[in-house]
Amino acid sequence: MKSATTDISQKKTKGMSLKRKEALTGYLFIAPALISLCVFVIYPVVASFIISGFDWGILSAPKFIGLENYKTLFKDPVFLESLKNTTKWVIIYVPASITVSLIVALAMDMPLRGIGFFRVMFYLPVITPMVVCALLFVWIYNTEFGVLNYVLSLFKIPPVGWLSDKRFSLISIALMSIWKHSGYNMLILLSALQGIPETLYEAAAIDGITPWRKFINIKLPLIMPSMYFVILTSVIDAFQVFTEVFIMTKGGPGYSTHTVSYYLFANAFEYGKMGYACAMAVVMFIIILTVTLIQDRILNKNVQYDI
Amino acid sequence: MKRAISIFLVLIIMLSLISGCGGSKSEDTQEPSESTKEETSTEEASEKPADLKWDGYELSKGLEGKITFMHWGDDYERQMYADLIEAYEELVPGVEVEQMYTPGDYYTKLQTLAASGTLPDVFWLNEARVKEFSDAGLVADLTDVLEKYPAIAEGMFDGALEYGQADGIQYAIPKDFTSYVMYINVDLFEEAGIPIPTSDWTMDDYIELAEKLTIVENGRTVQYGTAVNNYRADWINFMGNYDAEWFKDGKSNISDPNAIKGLSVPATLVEKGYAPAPGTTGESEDRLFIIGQVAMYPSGRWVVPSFLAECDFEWTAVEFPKGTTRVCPFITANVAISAHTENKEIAANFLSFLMSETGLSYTLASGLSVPLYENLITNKNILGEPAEAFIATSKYIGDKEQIEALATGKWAEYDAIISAELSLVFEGSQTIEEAARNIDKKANETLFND
Repeated sequence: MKSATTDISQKKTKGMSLKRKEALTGYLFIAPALISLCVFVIYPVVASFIISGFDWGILSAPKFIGLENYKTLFKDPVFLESLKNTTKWVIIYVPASITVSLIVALAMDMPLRGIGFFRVMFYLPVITPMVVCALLFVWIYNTEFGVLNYVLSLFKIPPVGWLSDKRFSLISIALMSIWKHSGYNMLILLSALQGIPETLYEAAAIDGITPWRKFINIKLPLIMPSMYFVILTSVIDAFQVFTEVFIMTKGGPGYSTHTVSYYLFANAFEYGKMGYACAMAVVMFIIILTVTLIQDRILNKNVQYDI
Repeated sequence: MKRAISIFLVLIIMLSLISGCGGSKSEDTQEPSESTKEETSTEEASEKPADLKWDGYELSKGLEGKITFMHWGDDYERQMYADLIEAYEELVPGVEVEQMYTPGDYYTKLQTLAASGTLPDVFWLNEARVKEFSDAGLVADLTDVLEKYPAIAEGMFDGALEYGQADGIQYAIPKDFTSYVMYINVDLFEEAGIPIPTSDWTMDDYIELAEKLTIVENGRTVQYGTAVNNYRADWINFMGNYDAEWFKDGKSNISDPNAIKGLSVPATLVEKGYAPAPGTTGESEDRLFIIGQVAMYPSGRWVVPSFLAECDFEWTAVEFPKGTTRVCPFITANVAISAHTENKEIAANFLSFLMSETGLSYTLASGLSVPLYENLITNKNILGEPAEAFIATSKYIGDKEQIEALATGKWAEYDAIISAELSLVFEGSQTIEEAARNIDKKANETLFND
């Protein structure tokens, strides 16, 4: 009896159990993603928290200053202005972008001839690099020889400083961004719309439902899981707006298009204030996390995952 | 069927994108002017006598090793420096120079290299960055290099070397410079029957001419008298020409009445519609001049290659109009040697070649900038056209306030504050006095509060 027990335990130690083997295989498969997540996401996040406590300009030796960067941050008028602009951007961009995406998705869901062509057309800006799109719109918006002001001139409307007038600059960038990004959300919503079983529409048709009721009572509730994802990711993206601002206005005129990400970049790489920039990153992290949790609380209640 | 059509369309679009990307490359190789330029450059390099010695030649004997050299610039500059390196390697066969061409995000890369302890041996450094790099102990003291290669400093314009100094120590050498001049569309002046301004013209003349040369048709401006940029060289010029003490005792002092007087000139030009409100990139203003919609355009030497290639009208350059005096900001790129290089001897020798007449004949070939040596600025083979305005400007190059502001090591942030506030003046939402107050307040509270 004794020897039999020893045999079993020896077998266990010699070879791995099937469960363990499977687990190891699984870990090996996710290892590349896990390693890159740790190196490129988790490490920088943790490092940002640590660096935010230092006075460090990349080139100089870091000096620990505790919460001093945070104290300065909330007294810095440019940061507060940037925070205001970022909030304004989220409020303008997110609802407008999702509304456009939803309208286009509904249109693209119609059984029309050549619909594939239009789907490709609406998705095309998504695969075009942001730098290209932003530069294109810099010229479209150009006060002197932009095509937009040329069209306005045909109606005797004086030229508008789309990017050089602080009343229009943020909205002008938002319009470009909506054009650029709405195709992505459109695709997600479209796939959700196409996943709705035809039988529900047939049953509704027998009941004589109007198109509006069909949208409100069938389509919208059934695409809510996708809508939830779209809202969540759009808000997170919007808080981090950078490239379009960097290319189109460099934060100007004045500070009218300064966003937190742009000001963060300027501090880190142009003014050599890496510690201060990291403090901004931490504040943004907390803001985005809070907003996401609030959204999750509100939206998740209204999401129906099963038909 | 629908699916097949969609796939077909996607393929067509992808193909057009791919061919679109490839198109520029094939154009580059097929377009005669581009290929000619490349051939000319290579031919010039091979025609240059490899035995052409420079002052540092004797000291180059016996040098062996490899150094890295990092610089920014456009593709012309990349090729010019490739030719220069080739010539140097031919003269000093034991040395290899690795060219690290960085067309964009130069300082992000340089700072990252510095932070990781892998700075190139020789690199360009903007005059505004010298203090920052020297404070961090990243650039070598070049006093011994200047002693060993005295030709580098000999005959250089007075005060030029100061732009490579921090705390009185020479950490970098300005390689060339560009002054600010006024580019003139000669055809538009002739059409209006107005003579080209002479060097004694004043700011009042400038505003008057801008008014005369502005043409408005049906409520729309079809020709501007001038254009201005919201750029440091522009505002230093306007303030400096009124002898403004815009930076004093380590503090921002844009509220100085003379500074306000100077800055009022571009503000007035924009306000009255004689100049368009400056954009954020400057590209738009350059274009307006190139397409013949602007009669007078203040800018640096860097626009010359594109003006030569693209303007289909006669143009020239005259000195910047006078205020109560005349100064000109010094816009340059310095060359520095890493404090941690293991090959300082080679780096110093390469630097001496770069600053020699032979070296400059390569690097100033496209007319992008102006040599810093009095004997070379009048050499038409080196400077090229237009020359007179640049030669004249070199007599009053340099601005005391600019040097003082640069010495703080906080120029980049100060520059951003000034640009942001001035953009609101050009946009019409604040006066120049308000902007000056805001600049001084912000800069002195946040940057110069020691």
